[in-house]
Amino acid sequence: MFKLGVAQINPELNDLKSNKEKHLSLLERAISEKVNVLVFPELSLTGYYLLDGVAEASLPLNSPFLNDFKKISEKISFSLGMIEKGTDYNPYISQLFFEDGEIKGVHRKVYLPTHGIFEDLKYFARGKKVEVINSHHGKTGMLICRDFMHLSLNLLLYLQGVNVLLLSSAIPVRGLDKEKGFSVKESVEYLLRSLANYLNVYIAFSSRGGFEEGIAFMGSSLILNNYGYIVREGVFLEEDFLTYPVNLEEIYKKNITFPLLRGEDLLMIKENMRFIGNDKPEL
Amino acid sequence: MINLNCELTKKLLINFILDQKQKTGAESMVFGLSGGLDSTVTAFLLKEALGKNVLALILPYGDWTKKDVEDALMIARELNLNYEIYSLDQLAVQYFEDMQVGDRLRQGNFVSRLRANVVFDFSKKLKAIVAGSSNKTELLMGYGTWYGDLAASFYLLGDLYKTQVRILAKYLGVPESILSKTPTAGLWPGQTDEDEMGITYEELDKILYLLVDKRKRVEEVVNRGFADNKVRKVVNQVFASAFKRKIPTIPKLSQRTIGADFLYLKEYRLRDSEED
Repeated sequence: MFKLGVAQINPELNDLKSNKEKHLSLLERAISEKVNVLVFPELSLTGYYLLDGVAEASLPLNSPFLNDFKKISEKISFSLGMIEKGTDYNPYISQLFFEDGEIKGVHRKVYLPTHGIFEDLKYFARGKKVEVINSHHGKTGMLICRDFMHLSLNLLLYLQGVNVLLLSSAIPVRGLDKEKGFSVKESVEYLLRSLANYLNVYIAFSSRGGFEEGIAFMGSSLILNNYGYIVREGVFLEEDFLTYPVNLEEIYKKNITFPLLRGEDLLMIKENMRFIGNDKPEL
Repeated sequence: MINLNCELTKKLLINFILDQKQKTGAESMVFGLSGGLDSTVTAFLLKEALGKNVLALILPYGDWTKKDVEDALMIARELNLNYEIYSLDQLAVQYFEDMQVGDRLRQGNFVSRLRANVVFDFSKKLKAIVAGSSNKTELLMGYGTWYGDLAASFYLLGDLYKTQVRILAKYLGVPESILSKTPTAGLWPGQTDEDEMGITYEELDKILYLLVDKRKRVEEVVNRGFADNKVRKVVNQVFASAFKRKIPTIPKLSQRTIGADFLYLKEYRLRDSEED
């Protein structure tokens, strides 16, 4: 058993120092509440719409600014979001996983939405790797916002045997509707319920709140169990803090009664992947 | 079709007001209260978010606005709003006489800009920011006075069509006497929005919603039963009024030009480097 937590925060744009203080105080709170794994939202250290301020707000992974996080990770595992100045001198939207006093894993956002109100690809380079982290609390996968809407990346983590998905987002509220509330929230819930159920994983979805100029971020974070049920839900727009006791034995139980993963044929999948996309594209 | 989730909309707008106050460092907010529907809805939301830290400015011109002034005063009293009332008659009439301005649109625009002057003067006095009441229908149609009623720090109702403002107004408990008023820009006696634009808000909003929110082409909107000439007139008006929705055009000369490739949010601030 371990305790999974979501820190639903409203980061200050480009104010890394005050955001760091907020992270550390929530980590202290989580430790006092015996939380083992805590997830912060996308770009939780920097805010989202940096635009021309991307370079100023970026940090390399070896920055001393991150030392406090390494230190506190001796007591708790957690994932936070920031702009990574890559060793290849490219900026990435990254989620860092801290555990045992070190950065144990980094996920760079792969799918960078660039349409409508999104401009990720204008300012950032794409991540190229999706890797499970062997945490003390199960095989853990991190995906950032648009990433988890692509089934392909979930599949990659699934085939690596992921147990816990840590999903981090900054989702602008849009499509307010009388019946459905707002359309984006409904569609995320559909997706995550299906993922949790069919991938047999626990999901902690950390979604930021607050505003940047006229854009409101939805909050409404979620924790889901491996049967696809929403077991915790954060408030709309504002900050919140969620925790839920996870029992990885439930994953084992479900694998016994509904063995999807061990039915997978990895060789067949790989073989098929070799052919897909080989046709000459129509121009 | 057009509807509104009033509960979530109200929460979002109230949180937005508080966020704007905090991020701009303003001590309060000021706004023009005309006695019409939009500024009344704005008043309800500002009052709920800010309590005492909001000032309504009632700035009448001409004796034909008497009923509106009474309505504005009624709202101010009902909401227990701080307010000031100041007639623009003397200032405006002096100018119209000196410059021999007889054209009613010129007069109306001039008064609208005088109003903006007073509102912004009070904003300086009170270390406040200015809340605008323009709605999405007006903004898309350019139905407002540039640097007049359109001058504001933000448009609280700028993503709500007029028919949605009406839905929200009912939800907020705006009095029936305000809800049933004929919408007017109040630029001259007897002016009404619907007469001037040649279309009812109900029909206009449906057309705009299809064109803008649903990205329908003109032909598709017409196929839904709207008159071809009406739809085309609306489309033309939306694009012809774009200048009112953007910052003034700057001819690009340098490597980085304001509005083109010098891009930051208003709330962006430079901080000390984290690497120091």
